[in-house]
Amino acid sequence: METVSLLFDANDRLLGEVSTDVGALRRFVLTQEGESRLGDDVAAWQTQGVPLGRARVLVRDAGFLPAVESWSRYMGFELLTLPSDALDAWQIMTILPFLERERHSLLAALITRDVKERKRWRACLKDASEAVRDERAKTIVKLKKG
Amino acid sequence: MRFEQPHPTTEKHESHEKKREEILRASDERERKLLLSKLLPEMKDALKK
Repeated sequence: METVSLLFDANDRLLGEVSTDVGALRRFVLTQEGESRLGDDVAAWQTQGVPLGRARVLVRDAGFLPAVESWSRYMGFELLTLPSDALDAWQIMTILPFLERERHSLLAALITRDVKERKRWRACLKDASEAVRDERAKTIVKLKKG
Repeated sequence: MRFEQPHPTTEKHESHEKKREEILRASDERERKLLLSKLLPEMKDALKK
């Protein structure tokens, strides 16, 4: 089963998204910020593995995700692993006009909630996204008229 | 030194651009207000942290 984890820096900026399957790497997608700061490191992991103390953990090993968590802490980053039912809510959050700091805080709070609460939060975010979408549609009409 | 009268078409374009920017800025503000008004109280609390 695929697990998605998000990597944030100390200023709550999103650096990348790591997808794993039973701990082993499936996909690592860096944001523009992440690419400029970690692009070389992540590229090196593909062949050399993630540094963990004096050893290295290969991307296909089940220990890959724990090694990335450990590396993240060492680098002063934060890796938030999403329960599968939180992924949808996160995707909605990414298109809503939150500040980076707010998006991170909301996600960190969301993943500590129980399933029922997460469902409630997701419904709320979906409702908000529809309201924002309608507002944007009105703006497009105004711009066309302008 | 050289002075040139702005071309009428350029002026019109600039005014149009300015209006467009104003619409977009006002829209961003409205979207943000709307979003915050839709959040659950516990979500608003989480945002403050």
